[in-house]
Amino acid sequence: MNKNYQIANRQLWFILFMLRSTIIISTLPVITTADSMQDAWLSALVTLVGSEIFLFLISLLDIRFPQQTIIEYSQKLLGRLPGIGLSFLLLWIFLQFSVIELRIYAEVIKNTFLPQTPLIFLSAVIVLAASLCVYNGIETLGRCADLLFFLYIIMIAFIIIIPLPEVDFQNLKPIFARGLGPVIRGAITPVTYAAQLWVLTIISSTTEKPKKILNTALSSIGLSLTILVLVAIITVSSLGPQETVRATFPVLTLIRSIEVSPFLQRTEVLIMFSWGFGLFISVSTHLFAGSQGISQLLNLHNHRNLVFPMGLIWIYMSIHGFENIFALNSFFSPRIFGTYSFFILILPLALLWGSYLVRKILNAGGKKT
Amino acid sequence: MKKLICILLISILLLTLTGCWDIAEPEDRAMVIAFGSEYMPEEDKYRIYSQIINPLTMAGTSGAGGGGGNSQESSYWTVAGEGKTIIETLNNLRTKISRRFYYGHTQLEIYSQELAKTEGLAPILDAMERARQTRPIITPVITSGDMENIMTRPMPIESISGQGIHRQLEITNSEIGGTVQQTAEKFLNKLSTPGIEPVAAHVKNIEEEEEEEEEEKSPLLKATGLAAFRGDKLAGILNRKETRGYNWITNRVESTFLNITLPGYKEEQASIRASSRGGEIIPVIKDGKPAVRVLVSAQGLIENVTAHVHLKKESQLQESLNRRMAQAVKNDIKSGIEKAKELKSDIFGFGRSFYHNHYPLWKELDDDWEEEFVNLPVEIEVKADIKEIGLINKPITPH
Repeated sequence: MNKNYQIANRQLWFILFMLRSTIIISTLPVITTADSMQDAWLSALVTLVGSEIFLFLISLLDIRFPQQTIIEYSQKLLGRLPGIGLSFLLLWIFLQFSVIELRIYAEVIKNTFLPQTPLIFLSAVIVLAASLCVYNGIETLGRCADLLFFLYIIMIAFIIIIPLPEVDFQNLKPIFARGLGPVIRGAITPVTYAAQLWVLTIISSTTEKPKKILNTALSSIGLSLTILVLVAIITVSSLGPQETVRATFPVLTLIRSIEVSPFLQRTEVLIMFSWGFGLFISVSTHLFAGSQGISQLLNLHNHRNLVFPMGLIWIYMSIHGFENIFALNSFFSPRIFGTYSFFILILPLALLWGSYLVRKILNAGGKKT
Repeated sequence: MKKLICILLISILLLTLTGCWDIAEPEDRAMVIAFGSEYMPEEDKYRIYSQIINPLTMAGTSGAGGGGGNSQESSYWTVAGEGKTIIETLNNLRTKISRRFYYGHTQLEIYSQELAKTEGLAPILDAMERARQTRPIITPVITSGDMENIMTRPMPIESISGQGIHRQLEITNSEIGGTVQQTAEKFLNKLSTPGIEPVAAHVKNIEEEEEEEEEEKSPLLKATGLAAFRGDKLAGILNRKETRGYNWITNRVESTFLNITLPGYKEEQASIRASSRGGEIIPVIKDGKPAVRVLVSAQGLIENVTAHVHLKKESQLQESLNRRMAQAVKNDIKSGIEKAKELKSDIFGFGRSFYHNHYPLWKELDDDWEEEFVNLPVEIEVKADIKEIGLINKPITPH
């Protein structure tokens, strides 16, 4: 690993926060992917706990190999070929997750603000900006996160505060009306969305103190998912559960249906701004992780030359990866996405941890004898 | 070489400064301020009137002196079209107009009673929700008047009648509590929540009341009462008093006035400006049967007394005034509930209070809530408090 690239742990915190909370303002997955209705905030709580557990497993493993990326240590743990296979899987995840986010953003912009703009232009702009950022290295990404984070958090705060006058907590009742089933079902997709956090295993090696990433990652994701809980509560209690479920983009619908006062209208631009910032960071991070991963896999000195060609693939996939927004929605349904996540999250984790533990026990046994 | 590329890039970037991709000047658009939709059962067709701001006068009024030459020209224009569905109708409208429609500033959607009764509002609201320009803060209004008259006639002291109606609703709602002003978002919310029926504002032409006078059509509109729904279909209209009852229960009377007879007199009245301080629906279960307690509190300010009463000295008077005011509020609420029961439309959300707080019982009630609602015992408790008496404490005594 080239030690010239470094970001502070604080910057990692910002990156992870924006990476994970963008999905909240975009699709609010606890609501749109299943039918937890008024119990969506409970789903969000389950998501909080579940994601933290997965994140804990990922980052605890990563701490054992502070200077290495997962591309390197997976080959050590699993052997050369399975390691390479796993690396390809991870690279696919990086591509797929960021492409999904890109597509959703482009769709929203097209559907609500710029109907005549082609999708490809919208996603190309973001990818171009992200490619430039990644081309200049991870420090640039870290500084972008520094710059955008405060704007981002202010806008998120607005999104939470503006609907407050409309909030009616009666809408959250009856709690557990249909039992625990819908609550868990609502949490499946957002929990397994934690597969996105595999990027941590690549960028963690570029941080100043790789051993401390556990704190950084857990607190960052913890806070962003607490915001998920808050937003879920506010959206459901001001729009009403049935209305929220019907909306393709609940938070956007929420902000659109609020008139703060006659002279303060159309605050939805706040959402689009913060969403754009978050998306930029998210795409950059995935792009960085992807290009870094490939360059290590192929033993290249520099990931830079890979960035722009990969950007093209990103743009292409964001347009042709999904036929339309319905395909995306059905992909996110707990049945499909839950099953899929078994392969992208649980299986790799089990393999890596299993092999790590087996090796440790064997080593310990070897030393004693 | 690098410099050359830089210069090239910068000049390319300059191109993006020229404007947006989807550039559209506001004056080049037909801004729709209000929609009026009717349904014609004989032909099975919708007719939609859309009231458009006249961009020519818009520019004129902003100029110095108000543009005297333009004063002849109306500052809005109403165009009507027909079609089998809402979207078809809107598209038919497009052929009659030289500019592209813009719905971003639409404030009102007026529906005729027949439309709301026979077809329901759901199909129209669906189109509104899907569209990117219209926003759910539009106010839905039901009218029993003549749609064409409402949409086309000029309104005194207002340049655009659609805006005028919107303001009139706002004033009627906040000054006398005689109607409801609610966004379409609230309408949809109630429509989809179990145990509560949506309401909408109601306007009508004034001459309908005084049918004896067969003069020419009065230009005036009256915002009065509310339209109660059953599902997305109109159930009936509540009059002003019943509407005020509704507003008391939902704690939404910003200000209204009540006339109460002064204690000890027969004819003499006290006029009280009253407003809500609280309204609560408490679901209770009596012997396994649902019942509802309605707790309302109101406060008042004495605006006028016609008899000579000294309001400061007699605390008994104060108490009995409070009692009488409470009775007046209670009468409003009673009449509102009676009317709603008659229409079988649970606009207050009595059912919703069971849904929220007694879910197991609600599951049994859900299927025939309409019948349950009609027979639901309602206990009304009103607390009224007259807090202020104005700037004088006793009426003038003529010598």
